[in-house]
This record gives sequence, structure tokens and C-alpha cells, in this order.
Amino acid sequence: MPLPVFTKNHLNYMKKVSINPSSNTPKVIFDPSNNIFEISGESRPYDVPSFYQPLLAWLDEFNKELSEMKAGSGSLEFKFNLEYFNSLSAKYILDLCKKLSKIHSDGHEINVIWQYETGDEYMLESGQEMSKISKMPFNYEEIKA
Amino acid sequence: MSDFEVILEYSGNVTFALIDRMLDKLIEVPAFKKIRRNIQKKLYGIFVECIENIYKNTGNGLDYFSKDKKPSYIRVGKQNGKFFISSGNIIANKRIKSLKNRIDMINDLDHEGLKSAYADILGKETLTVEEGAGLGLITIALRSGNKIKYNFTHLDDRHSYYEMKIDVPNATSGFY
Repeated sequence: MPLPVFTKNHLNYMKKVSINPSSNTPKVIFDPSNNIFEISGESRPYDVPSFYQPLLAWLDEFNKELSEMKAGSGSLEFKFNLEYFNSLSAKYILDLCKKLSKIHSDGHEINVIWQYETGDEYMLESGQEMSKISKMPFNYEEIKA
Repeated sequence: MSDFEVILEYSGNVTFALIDRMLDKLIEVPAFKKIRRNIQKKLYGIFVECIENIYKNTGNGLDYFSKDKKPSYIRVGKQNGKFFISSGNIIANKRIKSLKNRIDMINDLDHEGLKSAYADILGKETLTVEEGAGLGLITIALRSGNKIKYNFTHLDDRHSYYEMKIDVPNATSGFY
């Protein structure tokens, strides 16, 4: 269980993101108070841009808040645990990684964990590509089915 | 003698809701459940790209495409020990040239070349419809590790019938 990074006074007013999964959209939790950032499940939404754009905007706002906080934040932990994503979702997942890379290069510690199922070479390679293009180092975790 | 087995087949209009139903069906087919997990995942991923292609190409089941003559289809099967996914749908003639060029270009690439083409498209700020379609085709090639076979049959001045077939080897290596 990751340690909470922010005290109640910090960033608490940033609205937590919590999206329940559906058959074609992933579960999303962006919860700064508890240092839980996770996208998991399946991603092939009806309208891919409309699903991801608010998340991208949220991360921009979050980065701004982090930068305005004079006290250093602890290390953020961001977890991708995707079972499947379609080709257009890949583009937006990469955009998320680029935002994380920006947060990282702005001086905030961030640990990106990319989980993949044993034998799912495609998911592992996708993570490696996302990491390379976004210039954001990932830690890879193999998960047994 | 060739063995031929159909695992799942659908013919008709493809709406977004139908994609969900077909995927639910696919994972419940006994012949699919028997397949090793890493091959299942490959087939699932290619199936989604193919059925989404049909959905996008046929404009969510416009009237013209619902004519009985040439309905869209998608099939998952096994032939000569190899799995395959094939699909067919009507397409506007004006799209054929660029689509054909794109598939030919993808078929000429090796795995590293595909990864680099994938990175090029993915890294763009915004994607045109054609680039989006290209990303889907590259994804199919990367997932299958195979060439995309295709065929266009002329129907009339404005439309043709576009078919694709992708083989997915039932590799003996792997974790499952």
C-alpha cells in the first residue's frame, strides 16, 4: 500500500477522479490524498478522445498544483494495469505518459509501474514503446493470470 | 486435406453495442476457451481492430450497407493448424488507393520497422482518420506477427467490397 504523499492541507481540494470500469472503459483512480493513481482494465471507449481528454486536463492541473506547492511532495506512484487497449486508446495512453513525463521533468518524483500479464509480450512491448516515446522511465511488473 | 473450423462468425450490421456483444460471445465459445491464453489475447486484440474497422468503414450501419447483397462479416477460425481472423465490408472506392498503399507499406515492414511506424503515428499531436486507420492496421500486424492479406471486389461506381485475412500462428512456445 503506497504511503500517503499529501497532508490534508495539500491538494485536498483537487477533485479526486474515480471512474468505475465498464465493458469498454477502464477503471480510473486519481487520488492525490492517498497517492493512488491507477488505470486498469479494458480500453476501447465509444468516444476515445472524450474519455481521455478530461484525464489529461486533470494531470495538467495537478502538475500546476504540485509546482505551486513549495514543500516537496513525496514520490508519486502511477500504475497502469491494462488488460487490453485498442489502437486509438494507445495514442491517448501515450499522451497520459507524456503528462507524467512532464511532471517528472518538472522535478517531482514519480514512479510509473506498467503491469502486464505473463506471456503478454504485446502489452510489455507497448509499455516499452510508451516509455521510450514519452521519455518517462517505467518499472515493469509481470502478473500471473 | 485441410481442416477448417469456425470458432465465431457474424454477418450483418456492426454497431458499437454489437461489438460488446460479440466480444462477450467470443470469450465464451468453448473452442476459444481451449486456446492458450497468449494466443487468445492476440486473437481478441485483432478481433477488436477488425470489427472496429468494419464499424468505422460502414458508418454505424447506414442504410446502403444494410442491403442484403453484401453484408459485413467477421470470422474467427482455425485452418491447417493456424488461427485466422477474416472480415469483409463495403468501402467507398475513393478510399481504396490510400488503404491499399498503406497495407502494402505495412506488409513490407519487419517487426522493428512496424514498431518504428507505430511510434511515428502514436507520437503525433492529432491523428487524421487515415492515420487512425493506419494505426489499427499496424497494431494488427504487430499482434499477429503476420502479413495482412486483402482483397477489393468492385461493386459499383462508388463502392467496393473490402476483405482482410490475418493468420495467427498457434505457436508451441510461450508460457501457456
